[in-house]
Amino acid sequence: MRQSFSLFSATTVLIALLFGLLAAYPVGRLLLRLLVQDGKFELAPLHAVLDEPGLGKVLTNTLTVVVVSGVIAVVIGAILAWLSVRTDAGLGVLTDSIPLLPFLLPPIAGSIGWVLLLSPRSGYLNVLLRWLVGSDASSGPFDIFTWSGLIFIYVIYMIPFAFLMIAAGLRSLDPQIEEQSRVCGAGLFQTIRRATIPALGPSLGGAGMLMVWFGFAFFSGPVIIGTGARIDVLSTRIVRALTFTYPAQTDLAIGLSTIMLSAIAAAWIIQRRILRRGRHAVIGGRGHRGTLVRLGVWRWPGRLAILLYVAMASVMPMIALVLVALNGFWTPDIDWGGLNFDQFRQVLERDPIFRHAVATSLKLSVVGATISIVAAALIALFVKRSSSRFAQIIDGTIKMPAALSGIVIGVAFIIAFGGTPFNLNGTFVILLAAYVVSHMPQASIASDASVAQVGRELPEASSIAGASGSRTFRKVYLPLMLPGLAAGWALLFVWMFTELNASVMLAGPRTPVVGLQILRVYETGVWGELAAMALVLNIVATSMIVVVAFLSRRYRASWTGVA
Amino acid sequence: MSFKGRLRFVAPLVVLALLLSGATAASAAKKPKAQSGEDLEALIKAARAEGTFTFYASDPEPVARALAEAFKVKYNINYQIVRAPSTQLIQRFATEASSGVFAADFMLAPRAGLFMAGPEGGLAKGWVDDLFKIKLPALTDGTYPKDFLRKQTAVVGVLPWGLAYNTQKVTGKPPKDFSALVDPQYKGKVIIPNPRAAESAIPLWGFLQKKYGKKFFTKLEGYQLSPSGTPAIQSLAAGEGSVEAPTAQPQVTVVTDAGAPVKLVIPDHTTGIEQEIVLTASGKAKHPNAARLFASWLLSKEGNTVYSAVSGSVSVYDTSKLPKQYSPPTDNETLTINEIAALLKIP
Repeated sequence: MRQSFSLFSATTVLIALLFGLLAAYPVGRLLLRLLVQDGKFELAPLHAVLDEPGLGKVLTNTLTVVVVSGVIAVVIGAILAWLSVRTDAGLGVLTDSIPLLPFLLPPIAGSIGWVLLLSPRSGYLNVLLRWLVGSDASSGPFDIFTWSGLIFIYVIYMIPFAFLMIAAGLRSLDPQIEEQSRVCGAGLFQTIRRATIPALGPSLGGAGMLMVWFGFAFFSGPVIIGTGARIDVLSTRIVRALTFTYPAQTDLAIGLSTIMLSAIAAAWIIQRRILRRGRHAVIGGRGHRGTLVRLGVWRWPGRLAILLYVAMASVMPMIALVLVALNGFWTPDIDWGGLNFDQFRQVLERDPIFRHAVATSLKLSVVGATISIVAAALIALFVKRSSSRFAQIIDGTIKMPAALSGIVIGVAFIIAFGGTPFNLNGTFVILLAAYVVSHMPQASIASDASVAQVGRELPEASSIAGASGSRTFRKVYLPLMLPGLAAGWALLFVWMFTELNASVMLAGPRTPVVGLQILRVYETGVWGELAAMALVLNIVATSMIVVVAFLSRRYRASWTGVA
Repeated sequence: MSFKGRLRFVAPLVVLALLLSGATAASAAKKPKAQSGEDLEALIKAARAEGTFTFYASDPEPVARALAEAFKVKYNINYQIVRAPSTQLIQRFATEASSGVFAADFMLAPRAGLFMAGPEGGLAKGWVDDLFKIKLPALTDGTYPKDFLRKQTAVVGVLPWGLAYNTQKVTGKPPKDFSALVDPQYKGKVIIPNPRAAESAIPLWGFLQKKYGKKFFTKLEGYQLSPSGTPAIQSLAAGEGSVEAPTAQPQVTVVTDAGAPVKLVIPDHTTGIEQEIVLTASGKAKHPNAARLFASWLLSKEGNTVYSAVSGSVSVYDTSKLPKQYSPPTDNETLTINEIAALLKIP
């Protein structure tokens, strides 16, 4: 569909170009510095990667953990999404918040939460289970420091991506397709295979891509749990190359990042193919309100499944953290009478920088998430409507940072914008730009799926009726994409709120951020203080999201006339 | 008093004591006996004219803040801190410097001297100054102990490496030195922080290989590997293991302050972490004089005592607190991190 050139399209192209440049310029400068040494072209990253010992093992480990966890997460995520959207087992706000739950705790704290629960000797859950069965054993039954422990933590964090995209797809999917399939005599599984899965193409593609991105980049889980299990993955190698040695092995980190880039590029190509096939579920001009499947006796087991995930993703690690925060340090021998709020006081009253950091991070994450999601929505729309090579290049460019660790992005931003003529070192702007660029891929993936699900009928009707491009965007696309975009915004917000890796390189003395405070306590503090800090941050992030969810519901209600 | 206790209570007291003892800026300018004569007066004047400075520190934020606060009380010069783990800090400094940005006027980090050395080092690139060529009053007046002069820098404080044990799990004789790590009674109950996450421990592993030989590492087998020092001490406090090494005073006091049943043992024969100071080159730094005045104060007995009090490290002026057979880390840089990882069978 081609539209006449308008101010709106021009603005969109300009924004696309700007964000493309913002991602390409720093990374380009960094690559140039690595590849051109003393005026000669050298393949430093390639040599560094080839010289890296045990790389094969690292790659197999990474692929194994990402693929196995991804498959498990899609199955569980799909079941949870179906239960929430299509059956009477849904639990309202609780099910709507599933995609966010594990991320409301900073991932370092979430991973530590599971160490507190499932460490073989002193893990709270292990101690409780041994006590319940009256066992004399000094360790077990669970051990988080194993392959299954590592996959478990990946699955917990990947389910939200599967759930987010599949639930959005199911909401937009006209249930009549499935009903017609059943009427034609197809069984439940045949319907799922022949009707539901193809129709959910963009959602599954988006989920797959988000999971590949997350799985390859996930750092705190593998470092906190993988270390004990002696399992090394790509993300830990990359961060280690940049963080734990001086001079930093930036060439190795970039070389390893290109491996990540190829994995993400492969996922991207697959996602594009799915979107191009266009056989998927779209929001048509006719309204449809699916009737909920009544589960009967299975309603409560369904609800229990949802509650079990909620417990595992958030409640259980949070209880462990609360116990440690109140006790001051981690021990299974809790002095119940001596529990106190000292660690909370330490964080809230005696830490002069913490409040400043919360304020800076809130500003950064609210502004950053909003810019990212709006720009990503416009670019996704532009890419959908234009089949030009330019659009493809912009789309690829803004997704490229997905392969780069935040630290690499931080380093690239110092090189590109720290010195003259920009002189942005240590400023709010450089942090904001780095946050936006490093989260653009996720924003873009969430927007692609939202845009893809808006069918052709409504925008065509709008433009036939004489509406301009910007009016069609505001009145048709935006409201229809809003649920998907709001969910994407919330995820970006929580990620940016506790961003760590780029901040280590970029935060200045006047711009302290939350991520660095968490890192400081993780590195030099007691876990009671870390737990208290994580819980305070959890409350701040949750309140912010509740406010935004409320506003977005009001906006939708005012638009649809349905409260 | 414990480390955190010191931070919370002693730091303001040190600052107050400095105020009351009349060691204020004015009297320091009048009686510059501690730091040699006119040089110091000129430096104070130039530093005051700059009025502020920014420094990068690997110390915990409260330590760096208490230190800078004491300096501010004495000289009325403002400060800004960027705190990050040491390797990231040096890496950040180097990336900024290579892009022509010099945000920090100086940097406090262990093994910072290594960053200065070599053909690719900060000195060769012109990013930093050789501490001995810029005539810091504290180094020229002959009071700074010569044993702590390193190649292009000077030591600010020493944290000797030791081992910690859980007092509830170790019921018999407490361990005395690092040989406890291979004691059969602790098999499977020894916690070791990943050496890949702590470059400052590289000399300790070299020291252990020199002292106990390669078989020490074979006997270690079955130990629990922890991501880094702080998670390791928390696991020890929880009783996941009985002994943990290597560790140092600040890490241990973090959990003992919270009431954990943990004790630190510093063997007589050991090495340590030496905090070093690196000054940004005079022509590049925004506040070179304030940085030099701070460095001179920190390396003088007075500033060094404040640092020792707030950081829990041993002052270079009070070596009686050092282990009897202290071996500087620079003498123990005998293994690379990959060799250590291979010995410990770490991926």
